[in-house]
Amino acid sequence: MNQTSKFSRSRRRLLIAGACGTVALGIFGAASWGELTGYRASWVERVIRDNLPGIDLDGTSLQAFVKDILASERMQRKEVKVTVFADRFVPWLPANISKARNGLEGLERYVLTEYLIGSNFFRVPDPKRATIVYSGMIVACRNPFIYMDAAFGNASG
Amino acid sequence: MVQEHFDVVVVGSGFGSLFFVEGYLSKRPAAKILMLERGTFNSHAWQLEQNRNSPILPGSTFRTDAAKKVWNFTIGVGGGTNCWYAQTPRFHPSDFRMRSKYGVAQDWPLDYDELEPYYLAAETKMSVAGSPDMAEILPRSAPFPQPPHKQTAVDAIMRKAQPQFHVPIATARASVADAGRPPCCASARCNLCPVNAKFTFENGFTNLREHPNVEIRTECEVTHFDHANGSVSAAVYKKGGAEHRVTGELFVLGANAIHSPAILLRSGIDHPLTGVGIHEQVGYHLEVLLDGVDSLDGGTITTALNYSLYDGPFRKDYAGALIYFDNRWPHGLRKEYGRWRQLTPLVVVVEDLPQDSNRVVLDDDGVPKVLHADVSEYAKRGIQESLTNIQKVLEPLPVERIDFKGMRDTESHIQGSLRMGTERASSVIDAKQIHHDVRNLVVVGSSVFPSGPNSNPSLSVAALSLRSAALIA
Repeated sequence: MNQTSKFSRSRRRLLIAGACGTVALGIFGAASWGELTGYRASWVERVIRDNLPGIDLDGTSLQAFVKDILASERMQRKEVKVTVFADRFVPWLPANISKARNGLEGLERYVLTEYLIGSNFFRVPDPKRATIVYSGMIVACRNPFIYMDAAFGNASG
Repeated sequence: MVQEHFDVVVVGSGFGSLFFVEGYLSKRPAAKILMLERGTFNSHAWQLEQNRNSPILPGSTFRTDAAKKVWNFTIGVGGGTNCWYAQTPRFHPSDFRMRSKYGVAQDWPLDYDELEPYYLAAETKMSVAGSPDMAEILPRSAPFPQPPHKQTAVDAIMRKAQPQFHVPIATARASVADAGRPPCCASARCNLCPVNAKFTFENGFTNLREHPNVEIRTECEVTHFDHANGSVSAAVYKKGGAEHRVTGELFVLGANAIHSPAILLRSGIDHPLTGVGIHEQVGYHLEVLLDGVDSLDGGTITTALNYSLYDGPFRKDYAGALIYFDNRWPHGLRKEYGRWRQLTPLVVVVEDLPQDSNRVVLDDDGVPKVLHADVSEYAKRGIQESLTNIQKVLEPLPVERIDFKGMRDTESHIQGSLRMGTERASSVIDAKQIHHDVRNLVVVGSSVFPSGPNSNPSLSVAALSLRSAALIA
C-alpha cells in the first residue's frame, strides 16, 4: 500500500495506545489520590474493627478518633502515607517484604493503641459488655493499667 | 561598661551550677553570687503550652562533623533540669576505678565512698524515690527520701529470680505527693512532665530564685574569660547586643560539655586536653513479647534497673550494659485480643570510652564544633555482648520473642570534655574541680567525667558539685 503519512500504521497504533495509557493512568492516579484521604480514614477504622471483633464501638466517637489520629504528627509523615497507600494498592509489598510488613505492623499497633488508651476500653470492667467510647487523646496519666488489676482483677481476654 | 563585682560568678544554670551554688551558700550564706544564663526562664506552663523546653534549639548553638550524632540539652534557666527524665541511679563503685580494676579509661580522683554523703544530700534535695534493695548494689548510708514506685508484674518475676541484679530504679519523679510535687502517674513524657512530678529548677530551687544574694541574669551569652597569671579576672558576656564584663573572686563554669570547653578555648586557657574526649553512652531499644504475663502496671516510666551485665572482669575487654525495664509502650500495645500488655520494652545502655579523636574545637568564627567520628570499639563489643547475653538475663520470663527495635539517637548526656584527675598531664581539672592552670576557676557538670559510666549522670553531677563547693567554700 502507498504510505500517505510519514508515520507507519504500527507506530501510529503504538502512539495512540501510549496516549490512552497515559490518560488512563492520569485518571486512575487522580481518582486514587482523591480517594486516598478517604481511604486512610477507612483504613484506620478497619484496623480498629479488625482488632476489636465483637466489641460495640460508638460510631460518632470512632469518627472523632479517626480525625484525631489522621491529624497526628506520625500519620502526617510521608513514609506513613506511603505505608497506608501500599497496604491498599500494593498489598503484595507488605506481604512479601519484611521491612514494609514491620512498618505496617508498627503503624497498626500505634493506631489501635491510641484508640484503646483514649477510650474507656481499659476503664470498664468488661469491654465486651459495654459500649466503647473514645473521649480524646490523653497526655497526662495515660496509663490505665497501674491500678487495673486491683480494680478489675486480670483484665486480659 | 558598668563594672560589677561578685564573690562568685557562675556561667550556666544547670545541675552542676545550681548544686554548686546551693552547697556554697550553705557554708557562705553571705556570698554575693551572679549566675549568667544564656537562655531565658521558661516556666513549666510555657513549656507545656509550647511543647518544648526552650525557644533555643540546641543544634543552633554548635556545629558538628557527624550529622547523625545527636547532642541534646536545654539552653534556659535550669538547664538539664528541664528536659531530663529524672532517672537518678548513682554510679557503681567500680565506675570510679576503671583503670586500676580493668585497665581501661582513667580512675576518678575520688571514690564512691567519698562521694556517698554528697549523693545522699543531692537525693534529699531532689526527694528521690527508691528502694532499700538498691543498697545491695550501690551502698548507702541512709534510706531514700521517698518510697519506690509501684513495680510491674515483670519486675516481680525478675526480682524473685535475680534479687542481686534486678532492683527498683531510683528517680527524682515523686512516688508520693511531697516537696510540692504530685506523684508520677506514668505519663511517660518526662521531658515535658504534664503533672510536674519530676524535680526541676522551677519546683526545686525556689530557695535560690528568692535568695537575696543570688541573681540569675538571663540572655547572657558568656564568650570568654579575661585571665592572667593563673587567675580569671572577669567573665565577658553579650547581652542586648552589647558586651559586658563582670569581675569576681571565684568563677564557676557550668555551660555543658560542648560550651564549657568552647569558652575556655576562646579565652585562650590552653590546656591541651580542653574539649578532648567528649562522649556519651550508647543505647538501643528491645521489645520483649511475653507469653501470658500482663505487664505495664508499674507506677512510672521506668520501674527497674537490671545490673546483670553492668560490672565484672569482662570490663577489661568490653563495655558493661545497664538494662532499663520500662513501663510504657513506645512501639504500641500488642494487637492480639487480650494480649495487649504482654510485653516489656527495654532500653539497654552501654558505656563508651572517651577517645582523643572525639573533641570540641572552635570553628573559624568561634562557634564550637563537635568532632565525633564514632564510638569506641570497646562500646561496640559491649553492644554485641549485651545482645548475645540478653536472652540469658531474661530467662525467668516466659519470653515469646525479643525484637531489636533500633539504636537510640542519643542518651541526652554530654560528658568528658574537661576531665578531672590528679595529674595535669592527664586531666584539665583537679580533684576539687579546680582548673589545674587557673586556680580560681571551678568546672562543674558532666564535662568533668574522666570516664563514662552507664548510669544517668545528673545525680552524680549534683553530688560532685556539692562536694566541690564543700571543699572550696
